[in-house]
Amino acid sequence: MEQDRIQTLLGGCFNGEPASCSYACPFRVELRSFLKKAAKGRWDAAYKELQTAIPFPAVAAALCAGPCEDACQARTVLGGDPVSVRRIEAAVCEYAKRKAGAAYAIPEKPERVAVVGAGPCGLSCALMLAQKKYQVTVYDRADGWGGSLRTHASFDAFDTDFRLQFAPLKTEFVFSREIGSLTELTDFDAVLLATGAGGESWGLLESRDPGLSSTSDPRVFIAGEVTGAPLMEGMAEAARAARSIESFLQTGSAASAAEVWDRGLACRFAPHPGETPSGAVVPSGAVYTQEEAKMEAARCLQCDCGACMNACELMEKYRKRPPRIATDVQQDGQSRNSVSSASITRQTWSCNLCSRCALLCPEDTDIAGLFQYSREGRVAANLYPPALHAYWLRELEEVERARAAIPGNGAVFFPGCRLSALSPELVKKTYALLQDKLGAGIIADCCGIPAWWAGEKDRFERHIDALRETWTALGKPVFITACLSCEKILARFLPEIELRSLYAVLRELGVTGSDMGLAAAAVFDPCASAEKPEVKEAVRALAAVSGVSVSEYDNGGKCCGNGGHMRLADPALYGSIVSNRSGEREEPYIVYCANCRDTFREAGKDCRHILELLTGVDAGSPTLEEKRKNILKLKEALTGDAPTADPWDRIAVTAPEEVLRKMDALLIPAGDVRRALYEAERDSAGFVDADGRLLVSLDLGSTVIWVLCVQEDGGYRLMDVYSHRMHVREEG
Amino acid sequence: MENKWTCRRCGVPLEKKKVVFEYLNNSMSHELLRCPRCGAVLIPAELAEGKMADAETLLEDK
Ligand code: SF4
Ligand code: SF4
Ligand code: SF4
Ligand SMILES: [Zn+2]
Repeated sequence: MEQDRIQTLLGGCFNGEPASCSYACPFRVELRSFLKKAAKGRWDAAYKELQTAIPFPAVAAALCAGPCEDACQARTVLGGDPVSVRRIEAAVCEYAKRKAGAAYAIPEKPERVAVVGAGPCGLSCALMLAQKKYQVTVYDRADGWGGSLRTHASFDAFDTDFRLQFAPLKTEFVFSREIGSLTELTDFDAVLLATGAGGESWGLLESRDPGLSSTSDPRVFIAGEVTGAPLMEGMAEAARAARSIESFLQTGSAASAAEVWDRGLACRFAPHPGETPSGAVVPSGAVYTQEEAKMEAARCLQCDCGACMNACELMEKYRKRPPRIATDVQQDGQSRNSVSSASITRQTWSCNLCSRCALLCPEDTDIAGLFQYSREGRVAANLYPPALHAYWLRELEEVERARAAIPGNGAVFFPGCRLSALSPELVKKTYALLQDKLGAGIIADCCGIPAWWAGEKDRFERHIDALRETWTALGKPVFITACLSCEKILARFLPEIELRSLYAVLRELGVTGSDMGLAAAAVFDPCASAEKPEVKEAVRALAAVSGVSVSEYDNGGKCCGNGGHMRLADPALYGSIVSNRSGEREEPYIVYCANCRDTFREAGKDCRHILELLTGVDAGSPTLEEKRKNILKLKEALTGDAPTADPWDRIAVTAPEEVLRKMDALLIPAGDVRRALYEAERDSAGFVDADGRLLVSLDLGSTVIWVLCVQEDGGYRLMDVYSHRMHVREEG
Repeated sequence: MENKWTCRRCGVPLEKKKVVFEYLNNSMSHELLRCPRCGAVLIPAELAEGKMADAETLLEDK
């Protein structure tokens, strides 16, 4: 699988990355972790978290302007108070017991580094280098450290922090010594100039690389307030300059210390559905009490986007984060290792491809696209279970055989194959209406989505090409589409065709209907309606003018369950999706997708297609077999071509309800059962037992079906129908 | 499933025999009822919906 394509589909997903507050923080403190520890009153651990990022935590707690709080999602997204990070930092500095600076058990390094300026910035760099065991000498013209903070009212506290952090380290301080020129420092392997605001830089400031703090003199680095940075930024820069210096000392170049860290990401926020704004804990004294600090830290939302992870039953079931999905899709296509843990097959084939997750995503991540790509890759590599989509691909074949096209006056009705399968009568009536009012023609065909969902790219493209030909032959008419999934596919793959939604057209034509016994109902929008507010609106209006009291309901772009043709990939998941959707509203549903209608009807949910209301045609609940035949009936009605009867049509079959339901669930049309019986009769194949039972099978390619029955009144009474995907290998 | 089945075409009782199955480039064997004359194999519902379905799922998940 192509890495680039996968990266594009994963887009800007920032799941697992630091939160906005950390991006805003000059020191890049891992605030989620810090606040989690503080919320538990683990003061030492929280302090340690600060200390790894901030050279002098007490200084930052007292003097930082708190850009993390500006970027805090408790404020930016929820509109409440930001988490009082600085107050919590101050409290942690107060309550932590183990605060002495870090001293690593690593050998001394011989390289000597001079730091010019013992202000908070110079000290920050010196501290980091001393921790790495370099030989550090700090110069200052004043008679002590502190620089710009020496006159600060809280200097005593800062002085304590400096002492604390330097305590375990060996650092040389040379005070009351003004460096007049860089030539005084030629003995040193590297030099950091942290000479304070307006301080000396011997002409090197202009050449400074802001990311690395390096200058045109490879040995000399500049950081801190001397660069014009505010104090906190300067301290953070100086601390990072220690890494550039180390890189220079080790490799001769600062370049390897370069890092990707985009402060702009501080305005990338997760959506936080279901969270409510809250106010900050008000301190009872100058510093939060331990309880107050814990409570305030607990207000942290631990921001990490996972909005899509609750978008649907699939994401909830697998709990796989989008970056991991991307990696798995990538690796899955690379090898088919039988012990690979990267396998994502089941999830790939279980997605409804509805893109509801994309609606919730604050970025441009296309999870459905990842699964679609994964399907295509699997099919191309011939590493996929064909049985999962075989039924729909055969339906597509039937539809292609029953294509019909009648030209019109610049526009054609494109009912889509499932509506035709549902009710040719309803399609004919709608067509008659469009013919009458607009002089429209009709194209009875499929948009090709079964092949698209099956990942059969070539098969899909062939279908699209054929459709383009039909359209061209008819003089390139506008398509009036009855199905938004068709519309989505056509818009993407046949963008040259002008599309209009049937429901908007009917609304404009002022069509009305009858309520067909639905006094009150909710409109269940199909997943493809997400970006079609005008269609959603039109359907509601059409239902209302037909006398239905339509309740306020928007399902948020959730799929009925049919999307992606995933039901055979995970029948249990499919079942729970359909039952969840059925139960979202108590009222019967009005739908405008033939698949939604099939799905809900099969699940026992009362529902009607809006076109039933508008045409007065009761489409009933056709069986799989009837749907297949309906396609042919429509063609006959439109073209006069009578469908050729299959020889097995004459086989009479009866079956108890539970066998019929099982056939539905397995997507085995009665015609296939008849064919199995017909061929077995013809070839006198199958098995019989002493009780007069007959067991026959039919190999449909990817699936083998078995029929257990008894002969009765010149026909067959079914006792069981089952199937499997494995094949017996012919021996010999 | 006990052997009470006969092959409709050959009229002979089925016999147990090891049969090799294939799915998604994998194969496995299982003892099944088979017509000794024409070789037709009977796959009972318990097997199709039990062991075979489990194996299919396993292989598909790879
Ligand atoms: S809620 Fe917590 S993790 Fe989220 S931005 Fe605020 S401090 Fe950072
Ligand atoms: S089923 Fe829909 S919401 Fe769920 S992962 Fe697939 S495209 Fe996203
Ligand atoms: S919604 Fe999902 S895909 Fe989008 S950024 Fe958040 S975690 Fe990533
Ligand atoms: Zn036989």
